[in-house]
Amino acid sequence: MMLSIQDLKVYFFSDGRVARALDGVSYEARKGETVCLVGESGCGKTVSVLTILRILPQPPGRIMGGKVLFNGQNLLDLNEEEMQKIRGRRIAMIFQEPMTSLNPVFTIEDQIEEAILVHEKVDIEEARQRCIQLLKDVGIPSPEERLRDYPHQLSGGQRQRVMIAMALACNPEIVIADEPTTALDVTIQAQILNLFRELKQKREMSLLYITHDLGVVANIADRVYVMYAGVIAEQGEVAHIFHHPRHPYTQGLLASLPNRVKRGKTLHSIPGTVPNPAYKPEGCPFHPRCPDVIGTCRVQFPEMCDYGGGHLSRCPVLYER
Amino acid sequence: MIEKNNSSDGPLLKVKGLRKHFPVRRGFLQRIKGWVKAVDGVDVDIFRGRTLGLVGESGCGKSTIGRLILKLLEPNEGKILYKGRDISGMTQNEVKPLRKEMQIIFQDPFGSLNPRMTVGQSIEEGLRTLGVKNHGERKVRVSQLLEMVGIAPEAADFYPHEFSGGQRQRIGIARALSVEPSLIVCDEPVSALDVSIQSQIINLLKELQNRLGLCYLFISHDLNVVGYMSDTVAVMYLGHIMEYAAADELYDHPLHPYTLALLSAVPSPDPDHRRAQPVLMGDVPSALNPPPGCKFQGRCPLVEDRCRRKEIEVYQVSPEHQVRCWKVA
Repeated sequence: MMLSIQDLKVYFFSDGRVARALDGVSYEARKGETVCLVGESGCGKTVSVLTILRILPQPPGRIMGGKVLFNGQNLLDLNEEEMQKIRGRRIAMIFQEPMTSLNPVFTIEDQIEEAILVHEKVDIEEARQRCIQLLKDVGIPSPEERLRDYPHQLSGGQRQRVMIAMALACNPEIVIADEPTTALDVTIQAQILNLFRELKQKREMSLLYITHDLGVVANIADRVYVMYAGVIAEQGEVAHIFHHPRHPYTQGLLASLPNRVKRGKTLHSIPGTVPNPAYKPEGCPFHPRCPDVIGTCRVQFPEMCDYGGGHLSRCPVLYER
Repeated sequence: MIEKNNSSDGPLLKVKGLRKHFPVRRGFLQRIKGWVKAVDGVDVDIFRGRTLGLVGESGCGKSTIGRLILKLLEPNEGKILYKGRDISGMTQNEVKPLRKEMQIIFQDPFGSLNPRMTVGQSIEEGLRTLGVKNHGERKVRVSQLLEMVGIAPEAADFYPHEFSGGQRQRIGIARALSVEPSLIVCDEPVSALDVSIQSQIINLLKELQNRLGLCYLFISHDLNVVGYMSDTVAVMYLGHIMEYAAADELYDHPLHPYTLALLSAVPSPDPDHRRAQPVLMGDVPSALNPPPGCKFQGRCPLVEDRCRRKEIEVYQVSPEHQVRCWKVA
């Protein structure tokens, strides 16, 4: 197993309250696999990857338990120096807004070369050649001329390509991408998704892709984890999740997607709002919004139910029906 | 005309030849160095009780159209006929009585609600302009409006920051409704919301439209949302409407290469329909000093010499369908 997160618990302490951002989350990514974490804002997707990379702000965050196994090694046991050898080199990260992750006063060349020179003993000329090749790989036209550009001279889509080039600079085993296309136009998003697919095939790397967009998930994922309020609600292969969702939350999300075929009919909607992590309901965190709620849901935290083939859902009510 | 006309008095709002060019000033003397043609000759009609969807990528000019219609910006050219009266040349004073009839809902309701005012006070402001002088009457009306958008009336005493994004959007809608408008410009009203909240707001907008006979100009980059909401759809690219048709016609028989590209770029929430076809290459070009001819020429798979030479006119391919492309018309 390339990356395996086991029973991870991350709480935030502030104002005398405890927000249970991750409440025992487990997920894994195998070699060469694209795994999507999908969920709404505040469900814990981003907190989980910040924990993997050990860049979670502590305090207010605190890791209360669990393991982050990367090729069998628990990253939570490493010190900062050891972690630096992994972060960026073996596990790379791409964020949503490329402009805030690129340094505006350095050229594209400076920034990509830095990623190479920090981690590897190569001379500047070799780093430069690698840099050009990377820009070519991510589809930037005439890369030699772009080297001296500053981030503001590039369009949003090109900036995201540069971010991807930086992430790939040291041939990482896994790339974690947090909403990398959310800020982009739909035609540019389609280009970037194609690029991810292409790169993944060429490089045999794993991709952990975080998004709230179910269309993107259906397009890119091999396997999917649906998160809700700090827990995994459902997990499985992409076809299982989209064609046979077994959790009322997943079912509700898919049914509430608007499209023009549904025009004239009332759109399905999930009532209520996502709970504040500091005031999570007892029992199943989804029960106040759930159409299938029964008495035990309000008091008992639901177990994962196994539908076979790696398809698991945290809803015993639907399982027993 | 594009849409079947239910009421006898024509479209509620008719936009003809609308142009808005923004000067780009550079240098010490702030000389004009070029023009951004944000809206470059747009004709659309909006009918009572109907929704016109305006869809396009960032920078295509869709929000500028919304602001021009509301007279938040002055057009360089063109007419905006509201109930048959041209409002484009009117002064701000003349247009004031019409302000009540046209309202806007923004993407980020937090940015449009005064953080120092309670929700009730924000909504009451609209009622004051409507001439509701009695304090008690206003309070009752605020409660009614909040209930109408699905918020407990007690919420009137809270401040905007105490609400979630979806609730704030409901409050923004209540405030827009407070002056009893006929037309609401919805500028990306659900783009910032979570999926489960998005459908709640979409349903609310539809329900209010049916109940109050509202007319929407629905601006969005999301083709799925626009397809659900709209009766008629206009596809914009760099200040031009490239295709304009009844919604079903546009989605079933798209003609313009840009519409086709846009529709195929939307990821389908079905893993069996993964995109295999090539997607549109290149970036959306800047609207600053675009080349002559078709605005889409730089990315178009069908481009020919003629597309580069002169501006492409609008072709009426059927009573419900217009397209700005000579190759497909």
